[in-house]
Amino acid sequence: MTRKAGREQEKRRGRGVIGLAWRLGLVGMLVLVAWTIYLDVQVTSRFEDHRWEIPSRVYAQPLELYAGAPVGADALTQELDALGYQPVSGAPRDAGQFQRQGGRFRIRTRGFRFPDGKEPARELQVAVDDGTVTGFEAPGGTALARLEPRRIASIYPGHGEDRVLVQLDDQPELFRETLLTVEDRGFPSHYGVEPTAIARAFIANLQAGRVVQGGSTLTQQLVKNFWLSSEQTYWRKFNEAIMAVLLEVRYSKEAILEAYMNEAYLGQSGTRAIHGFGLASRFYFAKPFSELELHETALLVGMVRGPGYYNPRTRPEQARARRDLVLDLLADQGVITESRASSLKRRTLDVAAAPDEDTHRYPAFMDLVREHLSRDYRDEDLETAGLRVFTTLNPRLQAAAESRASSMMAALEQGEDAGTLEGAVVVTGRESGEVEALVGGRNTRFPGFNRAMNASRPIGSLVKPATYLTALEQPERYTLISPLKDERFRLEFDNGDTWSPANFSGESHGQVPLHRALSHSYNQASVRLGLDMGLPSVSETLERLGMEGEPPQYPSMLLGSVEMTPLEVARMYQTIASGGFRMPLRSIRTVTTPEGEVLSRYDLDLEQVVEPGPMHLLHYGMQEVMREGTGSSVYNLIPERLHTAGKTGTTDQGRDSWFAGFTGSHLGVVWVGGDDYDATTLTGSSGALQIWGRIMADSSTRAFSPVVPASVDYHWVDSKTGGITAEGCEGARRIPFIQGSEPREEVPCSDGMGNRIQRWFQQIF
Amino acid sequence: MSIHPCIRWGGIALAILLLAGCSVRFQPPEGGADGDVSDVEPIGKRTEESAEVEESSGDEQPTVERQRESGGEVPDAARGLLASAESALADGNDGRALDLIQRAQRIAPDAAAVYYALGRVYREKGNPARAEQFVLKGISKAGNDQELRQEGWSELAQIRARMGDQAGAADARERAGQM
Repeated sequence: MTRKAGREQEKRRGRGVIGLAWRLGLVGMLVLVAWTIYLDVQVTSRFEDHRWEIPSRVYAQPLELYAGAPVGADALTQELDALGYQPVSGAPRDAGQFQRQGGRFRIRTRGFRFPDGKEPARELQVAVDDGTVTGFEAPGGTALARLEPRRIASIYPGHGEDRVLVQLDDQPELFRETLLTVEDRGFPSHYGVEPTAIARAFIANLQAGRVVQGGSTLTQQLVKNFWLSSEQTYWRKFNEAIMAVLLEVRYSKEAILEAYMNEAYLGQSGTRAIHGFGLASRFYFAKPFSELELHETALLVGMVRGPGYYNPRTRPEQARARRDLVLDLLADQGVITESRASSLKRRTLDVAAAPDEDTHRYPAFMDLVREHLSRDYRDEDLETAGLRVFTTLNPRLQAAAESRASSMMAALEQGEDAGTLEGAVVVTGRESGEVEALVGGRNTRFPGFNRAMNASRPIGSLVKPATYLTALEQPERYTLISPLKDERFRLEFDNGDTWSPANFSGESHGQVPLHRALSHSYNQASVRLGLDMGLPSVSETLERLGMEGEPPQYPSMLLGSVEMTPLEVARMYQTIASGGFRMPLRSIRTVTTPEGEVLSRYDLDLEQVVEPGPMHLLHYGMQEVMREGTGSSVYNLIPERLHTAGKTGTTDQGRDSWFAGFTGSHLGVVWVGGDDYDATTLTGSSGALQIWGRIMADSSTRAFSPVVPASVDYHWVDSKTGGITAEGCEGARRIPFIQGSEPREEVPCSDGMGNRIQRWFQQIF
Repeated sequence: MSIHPCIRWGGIALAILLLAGCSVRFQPPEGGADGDVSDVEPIGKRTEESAEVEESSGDEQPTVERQRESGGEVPDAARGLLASAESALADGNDGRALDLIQRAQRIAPDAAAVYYALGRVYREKGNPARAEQFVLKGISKAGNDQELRQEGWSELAQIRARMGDQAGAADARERAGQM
């Protein structure tokens, strides 16, 4: 090999190395560009997605305030408390505050965008006395106002991320200053990364031999959250930096800040991650983000560094130290004065005792809501489209139903095996069919077997009103005073089986008027009446009232061998309670988009299925149940003026204790029994009615006073002879008749001299 | 003033009661201070069969009757809502009209007027079948209030005529005419 050749070769090799390096560099550049493009796609798609993936919010019905509203002072205070209103001693100055002096309230409402329009933020003056609003004043002479509805649930996706979206306008005082002071002072000017901060962190990390310091900007933190990975590697930091720069190129500082406010990870509640300052404000302070005070803002911002370590509920000391550090930092930087910092540091953490935990508070009611929603919406949309679902739940009534059911069940099983008794409650609006409360079992927080919706049990005597209604619809054959035979009898079937129903007491009562057979729930008289009507006729009435599916055509059906869930019973009794108008039971009023555009409305709907006349007669009989019959113990629990109507039901050996009945405002159905069908010592009256009465005593204020239809006349009737008699005669009852079906015979007062004299005196005095 | 007849009749009463040998419990005068004590139905006497009954204290005067002749008046709060609903309907905003009336219905569920209002919305929306049901509901709340009944039956006559139910319309017209 010559020297020349050697040089040539060296030269070529040199050129080859440069060429290779150049080519490698080019490839590297291309890879970097491709990678950057890939990251850019990642960044933009995630950024856009995350702005929109919001769980649906579910709201209770709002509390309406107006003169005459059935709201007590304690109930109002409870509602304001649940909504996170702050009680103040002087006049309320800010939205979300109220002042109470005895029965007088001054409330500064927050305002709320309802599907039918915006309820403005304003000051209300409300006077409450004896469970009723007696005075109401609002600006502009408005006669009524609504508080914001309670948020009762969120429907979020399986990965457990929850969010309450907030906007820049929602920021409380000095939020931005606090956040930037603590997390990223260079935010207004940097391009996503701060080389000096990174260099500082790099040196610290080298010295430590591992990654100990972040040096991340807000933008980088946001990127980190998007990636859902918190591993501390140089490769991730490298990508994070590129993506941060990309974000800054693509989006404004304001958009990035807003996204950060909604992304920041601020804690964990079971499987649910608490993301964003909106949700965190609710979770830790039970109030909206915009109402945070500075010491609360300082705590939340401080928690960004380590939400677990600084959790104010589990580690209050660390949380407080961190908050005070943040406040000192604000004073150092001149954001606030030293004196303000020290006065804020004297404040307690002010963390709400219980998290505003809306996930499993009403599992049974939410079962019903989800069932209704599933008819019109896909799970996916509910979980991510940020829909707003306005339900019919009345939280105060629900609370009463839950506590009364749980405590009565415990009381009822005295002497029995504790925990064996279960129960369910459904309460609806009597004239609306809106489900206002639903209890699916004793453990009301446990999303388990929902007995209100799924426990199909024999309904016992709850079936009887259908038999009596069938008869009363034939006024030419039956009236309330028609004599029925309550006597033993035996049915023989084709296959040789026999059936002879007995009364609960074991005794027969001979000939009794129809109204008494109903009010005292005499089995023998009821079965005779039902057989006279014919099973198909009674079945047809049951279907008209709203029973789904055809009841079995056996005579035992007349004593309630037919099985129904409490919710199905409620549907059937709703038709009776509303005077013969069948209406669907509803749990939702409206569904809207996040912007408030109405997607679905579930309006009141009804259909007349029973004439007013016969229904009025049935109401009379069911009021008698409560006055004189099997339900009369209820007036030990509620005032007599709250006229009620209802029916008890008991199945063999007390396996099921039922009550279904209504006041002027609510229909309630209660079932008590064992999941394993064990016998109990309960009757409908000693079990379910005791729960029903207590719930209604807590929450019902309107008496049931049905309007007398034009086709009905009242007459005084002599109990002994069944003839028309005079008012005030002994044994005379005032009884409604469908016109033309009243007795023709008139009888004189059948009482003795003494009573006539008494009446004479009463007239004089 | 009123003592004199009391003494006078009281003396006679005592004599007769002694003769009759039965005890009389003097009741307070009917329709006393309350003024709106039930004039429809006395509190039912408890029968012997209802063994589980405990005597109630009877200290609460019933303030609402067990039955009544007509459904409730529309309170101011609901009246305002109905008025707003009228204008919403006039503006062609059916949804808002329905929301407002249903809000009124929850406040005054026994007032015929709220159901008539719902009937009008559905009639305007071109849903006479649903309108008919709401008017029937309203009539069931009107009781013996002639004006309300007439309003209901006249409305029903129109709706039924629109549905092509001529016989039903004639029947409703006749009932409206009877008022």
